[in-house]
Parts: sequence; structure tokens; C-alpha cells
Amino acid sequence: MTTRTLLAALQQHEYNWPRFSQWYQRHQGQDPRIEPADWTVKLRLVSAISSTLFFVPQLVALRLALGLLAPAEGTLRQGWQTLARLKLAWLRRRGLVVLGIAGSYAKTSTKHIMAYLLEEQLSVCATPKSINTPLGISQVIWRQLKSDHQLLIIELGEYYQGDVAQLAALVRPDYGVVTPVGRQHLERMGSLDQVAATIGELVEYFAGRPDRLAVHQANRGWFGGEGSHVQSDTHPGKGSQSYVWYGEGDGDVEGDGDVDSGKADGDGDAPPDWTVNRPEVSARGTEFVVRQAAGEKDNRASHKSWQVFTPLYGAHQAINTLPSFWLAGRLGLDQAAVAKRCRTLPYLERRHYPTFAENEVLILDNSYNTNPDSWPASRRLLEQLPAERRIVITAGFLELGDQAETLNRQLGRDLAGVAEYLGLIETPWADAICQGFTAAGGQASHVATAANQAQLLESLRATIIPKSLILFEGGWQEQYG
Amino acid sequence: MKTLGIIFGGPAVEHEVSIITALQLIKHLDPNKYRPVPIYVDKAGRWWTGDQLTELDWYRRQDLSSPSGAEPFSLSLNPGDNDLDAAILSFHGRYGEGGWVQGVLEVAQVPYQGPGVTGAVIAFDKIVTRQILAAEGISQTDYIWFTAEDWQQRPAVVTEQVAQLGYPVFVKPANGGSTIGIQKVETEEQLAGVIRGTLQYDRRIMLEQEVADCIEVNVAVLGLGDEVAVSVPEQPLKKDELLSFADKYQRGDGKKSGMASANRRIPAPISADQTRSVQDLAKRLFKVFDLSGVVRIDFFVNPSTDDVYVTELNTIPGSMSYYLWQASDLEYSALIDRLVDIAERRRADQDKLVTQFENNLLETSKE
Repeated sequence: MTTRTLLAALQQHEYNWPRFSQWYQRHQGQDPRIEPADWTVKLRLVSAISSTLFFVPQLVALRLALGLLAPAEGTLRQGWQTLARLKLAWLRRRGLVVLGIAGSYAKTSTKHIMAYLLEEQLSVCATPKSINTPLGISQVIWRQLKSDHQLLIIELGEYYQGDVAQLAALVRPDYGVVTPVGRQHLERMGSLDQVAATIGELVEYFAGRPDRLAVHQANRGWFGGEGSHVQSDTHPGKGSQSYVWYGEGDGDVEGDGDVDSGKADGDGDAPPDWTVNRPEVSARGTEFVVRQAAGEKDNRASHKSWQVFTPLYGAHQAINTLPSFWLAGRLGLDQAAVAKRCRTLPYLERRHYPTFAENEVLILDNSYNTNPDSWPASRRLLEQLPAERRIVITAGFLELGDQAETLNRQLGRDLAGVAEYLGLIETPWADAICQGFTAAGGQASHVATAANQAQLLESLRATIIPKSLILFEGGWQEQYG
Repeated sequence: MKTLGIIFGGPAVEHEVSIITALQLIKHLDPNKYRPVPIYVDKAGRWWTGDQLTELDWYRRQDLSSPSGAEPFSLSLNPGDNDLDAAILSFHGRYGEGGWVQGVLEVAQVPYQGPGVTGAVIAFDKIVTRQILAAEGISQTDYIWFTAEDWQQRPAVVTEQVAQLGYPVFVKPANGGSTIGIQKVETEEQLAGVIRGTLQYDRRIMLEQEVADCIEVNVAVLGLGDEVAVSVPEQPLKKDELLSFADKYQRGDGKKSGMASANRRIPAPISADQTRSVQDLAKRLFKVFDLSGVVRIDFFVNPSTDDVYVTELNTIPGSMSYYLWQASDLEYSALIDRLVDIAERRRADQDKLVTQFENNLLETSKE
């Protein structure tokens, strides 16, 4: 394996040696080629130090480099965090508002969407790409946040328990958004309960100010009080219904009454305060109605609604705009202007990012990540977008621990209902996906398997006909690119 | 079986594009319904016919200013003398799109899809188009126009007018059937050079203001009179905006995989309401400019403000905009049927008009 590939893999695994080692063992002898996503200072240092240790084996050199860096890194991190705290405290006095976003998935989309939708009315600084660690965020605050910024949007990463609490303590958000909890990073988090608890650290942070926290409706089971699936008394948010909930509505945009939402997750749940209604997905994009329910949280007697169009594809992306409408209301901004700005929302890299190819072939790149909870959004898109043929290329769900086999088999079953052809990257669970696909009526001859994307595209080329819809689902580019 | 003349080429900078449009059309003709007669006008303006003119290779081998091996074609100006049931004009550029050939066919009374002389002339001339839009109160981008004489005699006045319009501006020859000759000028220093270049294409020039935050949206309109169909809108994608699958997923040539990026997006990414308003405006323009056949109307649309600006009308669009009709559930062969039907009905409508008036003027007048 090349040094660049090893460095890239190390970075992807957040420099966690046990996880990196597992990855290495899995791919030993396969010669994968991956490029580092970002040549950060840390990566450069690891690279420089390890290259001076040329007399020891590659892996040993990397391990030693990490070890040598660790003490300096701790000091460095503390230094950056102190600088960031000081700067934030100063800017807060000048009126800066800070919003933190936590969740298993849709964090980055929600952040980019909010930055774009509000930047017409406010000077916005958002952490770039998916930067969501204390060091990364501190550097952004120190280097990119300017004195004329009015809103800082920060993505709070949840790699290990306590991460979100630590980040919340660092940036002290005035407002928060919690995107769905899902089976992402299960392998390293241990259980879904752990994932929810870690994300719930942001919910806990807003315990005394529930009206300042918007929570995705899919999280009712975790943070929704009576409907909670989590029995632990200490679980954050238990017993509280007073957060601002957002999600998909039942389509009734005119009625003032709180009609029970069929989409609510959990029996007897109140409908969300902010809803996306009547989403219609076409090749143009997505039309929908944003509805703010009448309620006491904002002292409103009647509901409000906006007809919205966005070029982004899918109800899930429409839902990701809701926190922007909510925050615009809280900050006294023009929500109608937010609705209009949705019409020019730029596509989000690797989140159903479209490429319009010749012969009306549409390629959707959703390769950032996928998990059993986010996959239904892709499945829905495959059902809704017009196409003569649907082809899905995926490595399946990653990092699911002992549930990998079962959940990937289910993915195969789901795929049989929405795709005619499958391209599978060779992973330990590719067989499970294939079995699920054929068991649910998919044709075995329509499944191609290959070690990498180049081979897979080669074998799938003949299947691409005019008006094909090709979906790249899941984060296979890094691990298997 | 109808004998259908497909007339194309001509002395115009869009000559080669016209050949492609014509050969595409011939390829999609239903052989059970039509006997195609290719009528090719070379770059020098001479008319030719022959079966070999339906093959692209023939043109590749020829000097298009002086081709050899084809039969000369003579169009008789005497009505009824031409063995053509109808003609489809597949020209791009002033010669065949701006009213000249239309006039000849009117004289010879050969049915063609239109628009007629009036529509062709006014829609082809960008300055006249703008003046009609202003008269009709239809929104358009700000512009100025001037002649070669104005520029030669009073360059400072023109330069001042451009400054008032505000840079950047697009400089366009008044009569041009494509983007050839159109240039963007960012600063005053670039202006004189670009104007000199544009004056090689026309003696009248239009300068148009760039509008911010807009996307280009085109729709095609097909019909005659009030009976018109409007296509779904497209968004043309510029070269630098092309999102290349090849770049993203493959190293190498995307075309080999048949996965090269499209140069247009159909339908355009605008809301259903905006789509309707663009389509309604296109219909209105079709009537205002007395158009018929298939035309493509280009707009600038600001998705955030609902502003729609008309940029230009193409009375014989490239490829007859067949891709827009396919996306609107009308296949190319059916589009040709509609064009032939329009040509025949146009002629029939004209035949019904009074062209003779009983009088004794000749008898009573003295020599």
C-alpha cells in the first residue's frame, strides 16, 4: 500500500489506531488507492515525521509519528481552544449569534443550507466542509470568523461519548439544531443508545431553554418525553416536549388545528412545529409547502405557510431547510425571503449531487455516507424521479458491527424494489446485499461486483441506456476508491 | 406520399450548423409519408440537389463554397411550377432565417413552416426585436444600439452611452443566428476592439446589459396562430459550468463511456410557477411577432425575484429544438408531421386572403 493511501486512511479514521489497524487488515493485499481528503497540519506532520523513519516498516513509522505528535498536539489543541474561546467571548459582546448542529447525519447539509439561506440577510460564518472537531472548529473561529459576522454556524461532531458536550462547552451555542439520530458509526460508538446519548448532550445543554433548540421529528423516540424509546431516567430530554420539532407534515397546510401527523414517530406525538408538506419531486427539483404551526412557543395565534421550490432533490432536503426558517423567525428576519432563496440553493457535494449527462442520464452522487436510517431518503428519490432504468452503485452500510450482515441484506431487498441493476463494491457484506436483492425478486445477472469503481463502471457501462438514473449510495469512495 | 423540400446551408456563418439540422431532420422523416428533396445552398449562394446531399460525408469531402457532383436546383418563381408539396427551411443565419428565402417562397407560393417574412425579419433583428418588446411592455434587459457610422463618427458618444449602461455588457451584431460574433466586454479598454470585430458581422450593433443572478432558460414554441404548444424549459449549461462525470469518477475521456456531461438541463431547475410564467410569455411573444412553425425563445430568469427577461427569438432553432419536444412527449417524426401540417395550413390561409379586386381602373385611366 502507498504511503499516501495509508495517510488518507489514517485521517479518515480520525487517527484512531485500533480502527485504522482493522481497516488495514481488511485491505491488506488489495492495494486500494485513496487520496487524503485534506492535507491538514496534522497530516503533514505525521507524513513528515514518518518519512524520516524510513528504516522501520511503514506501519511502525506511522504509529511512532502519531506517538511523537501526541504530547505536542494536546498542548496545541488547548492553545487553539483558548484562543477560540477568547475570540468568541469578544464577538458575542458585539452581537454574534452562535448556532450548533448535532446529529448522526444531515448535519453538514443543514449547515450549508442555513448558511446560504440566511447570508442574504445576515453576515454568516459556517465551519467549512465537515469540520466538526474541537481543533478544527477552534481554528475556524480564530482564522475565519470576522468581527462583522453576525451568525456562526458550527457542526458538532460525535465520534465518542462526551464529544458534543465538550464542543457545546467550547462554543456555547445560543441556538441548537439536532438532526436525526441514526445507525452511523455504530461500530465505534457501541450502540445506537450511545449515539443518541452523545447527540443528546446538545439537548441537555439546552435543558433550560428548550425553545432555542430545533429537533428533527425522527428523534421523538429519543428526546420526545413520553414517546421516548429510551428508558433511562438520566437520558437527556426525557420528559420534555417543549423543544421546537421539525419534520414532514401530513399535507394539511391550511388548517389551524394541530392535526396529528401521520409522519410523527411514536404514538400520540404532537405534530412538529415546523413541517414540510406536499413535497413533489421532479427532475426540476422539489416543490413543497413550509408550514409553521400555530402555537405557544412563538406566541402565534395562527399558522403560517410558504410555497417553496428548491433545485435540491427530495423531501429530506426540504426538511433540512426548516431550521433556517425557524432561526430566521427567531432572529426577526424575513422568512418569505428565505423561501425565495431556496430556489437558488446550490447542490451539496456528495449529498444527492446531480450530474446531468448526455442522453438525459442523471447521476446522483450520494457517496458521502449512508446508513439504514438515511437510506430511505435515497430509496424515495429512486421511486420519485422519472427514469427509464435505475442503477445503484454502493458498498452498502459501513461500520455497523454485528448488525452489518442483517441490515445489508435488508438493503438488498429494498434495492430490488427500486433498481434494476446493482453495482457492488467488494466488501465483506456484498454477498448479503446480493442475496437480499435476489431474494426480493432482483435478477442475479443484473448485479455486478468489483473491487473498485473503475472496474465496476466498466462492467456496468452496457447497462446504461438513455434516461437512466444512476445513484452512488454511500461512502465507498474513500474506503474503496 | 408528399414531396418535401428541405432547404438549408446558405451564405452565413452558421452554414455548417444548418447542414447538421437539415440532415438530422431528413434522418427522422417517415419514408412512408415523405419523399425528401434535399436542397442545399452553398456558401456562395448557389442552390443544389441530389440524393448524395443527405450524407454528411459528402459535405466533408467538398469545398462548400464551390461544391461539385450535385445537380443545380432551380426554384421557379411562377406559382405551381415547383414539384414540392411543402418545404421545411432548415437555415440558420440571416440568409434563410431572416426573411430572404421566406420572401422567395412566398413569391413562388411554396408552402413552408414559417414564420413568414414579417415574423422572420423582425424576430431575427435583435434591435427591432427590442423595440417591439418595449412597445408591448415586455420586460427586457437594458440595451443601446448604434450603427457603424455612429461609431466611426462619434465614438466618444457611444462609449459614454455604454458607460451609462454599465459594464459588463454583451456586444452583439443586430443580425446573427447564433452566438458567433457575440462577445462580453468587461472594461472600457476592451470596448473599441470588440466593436471593431463585431462590425465585421453587421453594420448595426446592440449592446446589452448583463443581468445578475439570472439563469438562462429557453423554451420552444410550435404552432400556427393561436394553436400553439410550448415545450418544457431547458437551461443551457456553459462549458465552464459543465459538471463532468468523467472528471468526477473517471480519469480519461468520459465520451468513451457514453457518459459525457450534457450541455443542457431539461427541465430547467425553476419552480412550477416560474415555468408556467415563462411558457405563457413565450406564447404571447409567438403571437406578437407573428411567428409560426417551431421557434425557440431565450430568456434570462431570476429564480429568486421572479423577473423574466426576453433575450432573443430563434425562428429556426438548431436541431429544430427536437430535444425539447422529446422531453415534452413529441418525437421528432411527429414534430416533422406538425411542421408540414403548419406549412400547408399557412399556405391555405394565405390562399383564402383576397388578392384580387374587381375594378375598371385600367379601362378608365388614360395613357
